[in-house]
Amino acid sequence: MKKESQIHPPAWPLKLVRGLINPEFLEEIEGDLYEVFQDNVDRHGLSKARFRYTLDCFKLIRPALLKRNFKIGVMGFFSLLRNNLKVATRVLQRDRLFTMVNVLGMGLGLVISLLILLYAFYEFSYESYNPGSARMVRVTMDYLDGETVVDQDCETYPPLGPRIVRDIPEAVDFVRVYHLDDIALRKDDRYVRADRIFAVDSSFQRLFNYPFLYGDPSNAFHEPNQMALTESQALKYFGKSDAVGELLWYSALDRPFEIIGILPDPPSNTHLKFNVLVSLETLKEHFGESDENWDGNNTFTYIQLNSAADYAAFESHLADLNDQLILEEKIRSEKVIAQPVDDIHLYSHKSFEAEENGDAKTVWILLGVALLVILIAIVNYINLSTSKSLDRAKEVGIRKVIGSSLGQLRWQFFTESFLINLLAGVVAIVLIVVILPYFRMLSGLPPNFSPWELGQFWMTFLLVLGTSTLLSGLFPAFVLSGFRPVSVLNGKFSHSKIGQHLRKGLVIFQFAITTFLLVLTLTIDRQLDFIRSIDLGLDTEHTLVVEAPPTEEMQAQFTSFKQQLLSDPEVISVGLSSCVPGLPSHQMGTTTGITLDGDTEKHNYNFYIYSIDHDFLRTMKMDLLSGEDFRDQKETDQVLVNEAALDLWRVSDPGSAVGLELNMWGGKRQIRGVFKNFHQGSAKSDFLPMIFLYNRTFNELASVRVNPQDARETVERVREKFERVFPGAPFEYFFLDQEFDKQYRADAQFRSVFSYLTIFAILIACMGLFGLVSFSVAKRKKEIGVRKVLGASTRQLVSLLSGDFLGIVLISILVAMPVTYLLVRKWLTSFANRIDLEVWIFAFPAVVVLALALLTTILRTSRLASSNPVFSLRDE
Amino acid sequence: MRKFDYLILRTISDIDEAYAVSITRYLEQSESRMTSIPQVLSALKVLEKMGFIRSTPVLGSEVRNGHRKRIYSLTQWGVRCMEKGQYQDITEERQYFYKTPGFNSV
Repeated sequence: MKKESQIHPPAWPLKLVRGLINPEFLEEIEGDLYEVFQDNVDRHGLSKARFRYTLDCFKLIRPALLKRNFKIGVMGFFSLLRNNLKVATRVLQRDRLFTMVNVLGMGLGLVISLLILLYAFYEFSYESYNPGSARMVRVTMDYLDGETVVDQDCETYPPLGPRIVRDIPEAVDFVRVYHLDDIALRKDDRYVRADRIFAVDSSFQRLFNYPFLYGDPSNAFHEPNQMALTESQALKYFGKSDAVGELLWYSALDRPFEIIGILPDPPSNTHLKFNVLVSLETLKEHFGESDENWDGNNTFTYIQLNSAADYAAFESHLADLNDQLILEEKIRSEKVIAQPVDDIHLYSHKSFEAEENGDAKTVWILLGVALLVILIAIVNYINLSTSKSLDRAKEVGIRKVIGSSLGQLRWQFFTESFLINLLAGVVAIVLIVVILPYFRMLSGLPPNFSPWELGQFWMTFLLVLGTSTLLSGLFPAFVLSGFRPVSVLNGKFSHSKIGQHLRKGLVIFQFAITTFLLVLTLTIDRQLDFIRSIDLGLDTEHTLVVEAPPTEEMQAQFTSFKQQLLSDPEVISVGLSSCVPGLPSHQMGTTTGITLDGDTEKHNYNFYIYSIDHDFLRTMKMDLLSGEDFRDQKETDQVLVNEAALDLWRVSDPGSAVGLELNMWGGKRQIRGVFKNFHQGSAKSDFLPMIFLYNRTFNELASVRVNPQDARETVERVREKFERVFPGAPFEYFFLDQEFDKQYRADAQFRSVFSYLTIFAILIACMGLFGLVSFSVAKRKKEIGVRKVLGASTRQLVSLLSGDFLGIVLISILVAMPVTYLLVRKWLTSFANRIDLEVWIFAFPAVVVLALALLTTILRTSRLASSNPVFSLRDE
Repeated sequence: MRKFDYLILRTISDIDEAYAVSITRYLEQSESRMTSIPQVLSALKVLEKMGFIRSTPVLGSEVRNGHRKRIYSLTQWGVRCMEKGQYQDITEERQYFYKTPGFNSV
């Protein structure tokens, strides 16, 4: 226990408030507080007494106890604020055009910035649902040819996860996730096709932190034939959320799976969206998958680290482990690398991704454009405010004469800027409410995404509003408050040359940005059209793809189904295959270690495998460069390969490749023919090395090329045939061209968002020009009157008034072009196939900007130029 | 009149040595209401400025760490105000008689 003489109240609270308290009262107050503190120590204990003492010190900040100066300062501030608000409201009411242009301009600028920021928040929020994601990494593999990376695969070998946890001290846990093909699940007699099915280790719940809504997570995924569903899937199959203990038949295996847990639906902002999870043990039991299988790299491997800070050390140890695995001949030309799970969505574009990922570059480009748009709106405000300086000069002079300080004047102008921005903020919120549903569709945000409950949104709203108030108010506040009362009140004030140059400079800045955005929009448009127009190496049109029925018994009839289809006069051809172009790469088989016979160099390149029948190439209209297509025969060891595969084996001539033998899966296969490269996905990505095997009896998909006329009726006839051959099986189909279009959905979204951004930017810039022209014309009212009296025609006057502004816009175009050219060229270099930058891509936007500026100025000047000079001169 | 101001005036008239701490303790005990020293001090300064109470400084003791304390007592206006319980009426009456400059600024 402390001695009484040592017990003192804390010194800092009183020190903090001492400066604010009336010094006459300090002696008495300190004594009173000390006495109460000692009393509280006896009654409540030391810590409580100290807390109350601190609280009492802050409670001293009351008007009756404050210093006189401070009291006046506080009260003065509020009365000044009230006065400023009153004056600002009057100014804004007086100049309605100025207010409208500014409020609308700033409002649109804020809408654009906030919507883009919302989009960026969403894109950056991936994996935020998982509190442990910061210390999670995904292990991936790069395939090397010497030092060159020839492929990047986000799947790895099953034994890699346990090996990493065993050998690397920073790794504490792992989970393997195996992406299964779409399957049909059966409940009673009803088949429902399920997608997004993954086989997972029992550690899944620990790493991904999904709570079990029903079921026991501690027993989950330890045994074969265990299945967990998301809540929406449970409702779909069983009509209730709590489906634990129920059975679902995995139709391909013809085996029941026990539902051991119900998980919440994964959020839209995670890269690993699942509907159904089955235990990885199931694959071991039914497909012979093994923990020691270094031959097939087919699982996502996630590692949990001790802490996020261990990442660098983990990477270094992973490089050591990579060397060790090469020594052990577990891997050959692969490089195992780690990537933080939080980076997957925006920075990972490897083969076999669980879903099409976003692109950080796109997000940053859109953020940059949003910044430019808000800058254009701010420049509008600055330009219009300073152009009104002559009107405000006398007000400033008189205010200064009657004792207004520089600071008070600046506050006045800041208040006006604040009011404009506040009104713009209200306009922005109203517009966002209206636009949001369309923006969600346009940008690909999930339909249930709402910003209103997001604290981040409101924080950003206030931050953007505050920043735009500060930026837009700063310049007028300092320029307008700086007028000298003597010259202003003597009538010697005129617009300074510097001010005029500055305003012109700002207009040049605005229109330079507008020109840049227009050129960029056009380039993006042309480039994306160009990518769409690239020859895919096949014909995707008028091709219907029908999925095979779910059970083995039914699948045995798939060839017979094909024969029935061919009897339809509207069906041109039917090809069976395990996969079709346009489907995600995980739907294809892959294999490594295929070498040309006699090639001593060992590689582990990833080859993509299709199993096809003898009609597939013809149905897809793929070109055979050399050799022969498969014939209708029982089976063959021969294979077809593409040019990309030959490149990996360093065979340059397709003709000479025919007849060569491949070491494949422990045997030999002969190359029967070489087909032309085709794009499995978007034309933005490279060609994949492919091998086509022959399988006549069963393949999962039937591609049906139909006559373009009456395609809908043909689909109906195909359905009837399917249902006749496979009663009870779900008829699942898609059109090949529509499936392919999904590859370009993100591009289409980017193009739409960017185009709208540019339109808004042009609109805001034109509004600013309109306002500026209005004020300039108003100032030259008398000059125009005199010119008219002296015989000037309306056309001459319009060209005189518009000439200045068009000159400025022309300069802005000239300023923008070199920078625009460099930036646009840099953007295009990121594409393997790109358009040439032709002159018209720059000329057309320049003409559009000039035309819009001309239209804006003519709209405003023609009215005054054609008005009667009597009205403008009668005041004289 | 604010009830709290009235209570302060009554406390000053009821106890012997009326200063901020003793008034606070008295109010806590008699009225069973939580009262803080700053609240009482603020009310005392307002009432003193309005002329309802006056104060005299007294040398500090060890329990106050040597700091002086101010003993408050009622003025004749304070006594009248307390008896009448009408804060505003008395203020106007006082203003009329004495024309106190700056009276309204409080």
